[in-house]
Amino acid sequence: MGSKSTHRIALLLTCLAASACVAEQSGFPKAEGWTQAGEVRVYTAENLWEFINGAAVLFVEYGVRTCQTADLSAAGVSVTVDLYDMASPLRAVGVFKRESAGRGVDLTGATIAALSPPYQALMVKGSTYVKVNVYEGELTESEGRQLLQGLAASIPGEAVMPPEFSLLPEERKVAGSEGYQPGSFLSLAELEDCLYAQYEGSEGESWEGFVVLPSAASDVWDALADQWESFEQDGLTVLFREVPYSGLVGVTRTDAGMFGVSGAADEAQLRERLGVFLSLR
Amino acid sequence: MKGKNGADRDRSRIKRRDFVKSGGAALAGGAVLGLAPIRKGKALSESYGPSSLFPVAPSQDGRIQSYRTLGRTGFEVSDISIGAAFIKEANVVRYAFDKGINYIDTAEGYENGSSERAIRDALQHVDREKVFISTKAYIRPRDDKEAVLRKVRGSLERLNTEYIDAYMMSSVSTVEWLNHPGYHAAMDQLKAEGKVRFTGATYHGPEATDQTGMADVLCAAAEDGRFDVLLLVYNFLNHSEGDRIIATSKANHVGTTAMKTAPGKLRAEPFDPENLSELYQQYLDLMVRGGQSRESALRDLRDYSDKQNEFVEKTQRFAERYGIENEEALQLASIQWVLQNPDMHTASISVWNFDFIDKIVALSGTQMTAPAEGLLEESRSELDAQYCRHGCVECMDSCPFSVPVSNIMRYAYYFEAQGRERHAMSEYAALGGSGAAPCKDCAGLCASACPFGLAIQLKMLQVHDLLTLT
Repeated sequence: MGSKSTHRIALLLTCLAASACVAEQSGFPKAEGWTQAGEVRVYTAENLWEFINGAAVLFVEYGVRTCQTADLSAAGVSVTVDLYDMASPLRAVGVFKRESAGRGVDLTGATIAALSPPYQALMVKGSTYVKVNVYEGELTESEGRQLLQGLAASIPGEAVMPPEFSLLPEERKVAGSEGYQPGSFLSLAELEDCLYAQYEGSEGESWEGFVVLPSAASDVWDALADQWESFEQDGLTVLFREVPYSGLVGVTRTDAGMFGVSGAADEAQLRERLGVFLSLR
Repeated sequence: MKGKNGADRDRSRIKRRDFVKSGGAALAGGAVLGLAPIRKGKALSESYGPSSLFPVAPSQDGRIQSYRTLGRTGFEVSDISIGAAFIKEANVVRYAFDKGINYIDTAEGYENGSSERAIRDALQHVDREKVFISTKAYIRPRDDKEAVLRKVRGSLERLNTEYIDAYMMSSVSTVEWLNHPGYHAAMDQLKAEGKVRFTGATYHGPEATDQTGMADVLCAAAEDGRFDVLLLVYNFLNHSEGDRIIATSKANHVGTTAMKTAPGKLRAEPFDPENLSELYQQYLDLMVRGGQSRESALRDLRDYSDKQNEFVEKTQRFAERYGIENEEALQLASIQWVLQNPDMHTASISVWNFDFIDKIVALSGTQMTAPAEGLLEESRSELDAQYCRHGCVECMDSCPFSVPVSNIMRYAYYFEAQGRERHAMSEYAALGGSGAAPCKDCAGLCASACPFGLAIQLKMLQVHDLLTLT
């Protein structure tokens, strides 16, 4: 191959010391009463770390495509609004659940939202995860609501929970406890693509149940079968292992999918909870 | 009940996605390689022997073997430490502590504060004085002392600790920024109150308007006298700036911690002349536009693809010989390379599960094996002249036209690797007169400006063709 061509093709191997770029057009959502200050910055999975440092790891794991960010101001309050395009509503809700520590609120036009006045407001609409951070002044709850609703009106997508969550049994489910983790659920490398939620036990305690997404169930099951221990229960194979410091996790597979429970103190409790979880379907 | 021997469990199944995660923030500096699919490795238990890639097999019983003094802090830190960007579960931190890892790097923004909360819960199971917690925040230039104090108090509250060992100013990109009055005023007060013991700084890339490199910023920080710990990019492909920083830090008794210890990720781009990928099609079009015949261009592309495949397959065979997938092998060998420098006090590794902690703990205190050195050498020879180093601005002064090389390379990446053609071309057009057009008539003063041998002028001309309608 000639050297000229080699160099031309070497573009394939381009590596970058990247920095944020300015958006080619200002299509940033507007909210009544709020004024955009400065430019919109756009980051991708490759350079998001320049914006949020190591926190980018979480977003990359959840499949972030882009992050647009801009500063908005209203009377006495200045905020940074980050719009993460997470590629799917499931991943947007998943990353919201990982990040949200505030109080969940019902918000017209949003799939899910949480407010932590005076510092922060979070929301999902469609595939977009919206993160509002206050950097000057204090954001009241009503201001946070008004801002999120204004943004939601301009963001595409449905304001309903992703259909995948219907795989989790509703009965006994602790409201708002559901989430999604694409990898290393329970900090176990082998558990991927898990929907999870807390369930109420018969004696007031709660325990965690999870469902592996159907698209991943076969691969995950095969991986677990190689590594985990097993027993039979009601004609089903149960695979299980110990999770450091937090008891046993077990999964089983039926025609309806792959289900699991975690946090069992011993095998008897694992059997009991798994039986209950299956019966909830 | 059927039992399985835990020691026989296959712990080698790190998938491509895991590697990407582990590279984490390093992805932007990553090399775009070809091309072969990833295959599963054998069980590690079968692979550790006299000729293994790594001398110690991962084990749930493994523990940290080496501790180093973190500069003037005097703290003896484990050579392997935890980057907590992805940690939400306290038990992962606790597991790391139980393995002997005693340095953890977090930030207020990691998992939106959940990382710090996970560390708080893990601290219930360990003697606080035996671990070193470093946290940080992005301190905006406009932040005053009170704003910084609020950030630190937030971290103290989430960590539920009386004190933070090191509070770092994150993503400092200019030397002037090191003098941030609000940060230093807050640190003075917090140190006096016993809330913060040491200070520090990190660098994550230049400002668009200021091309100050990592070494300039962090060497200045090391010499400044007010910074006790630095967090810097350091890997086998990108270490010249890091070596300067380490030397300056050593002379000034400043602690050094490494991030982005692996250089990047591998990408697959199969070549099929009958069904060219979009990327190859773009290059074919470019080559034909440049006057080459289609047949000749396809031959060149095939040769190029074969060469890349050969490297990847060689690496893959190499990895399979030792029972570890190539990407993971490269990552672990890269970490081990960092540990060979005794003046780098700890390698901060992003972890997200128990198994991976076992794997990195097994590297503690070990010397590189000949096969691991071979793997890095193979990787280095293939990537060295292709890897545009994060934080490097070495070539910037050589250009009489101030062509923003790294920005232009980034636009090419948007076009080629991400398929964002319109965006890339728009960005490039926005550069106006500061694009690469002057390179056409330039004598090529940048010819030897890249210390790593990247052919800058040629790349600029190619990118100019790519990003314009010429």
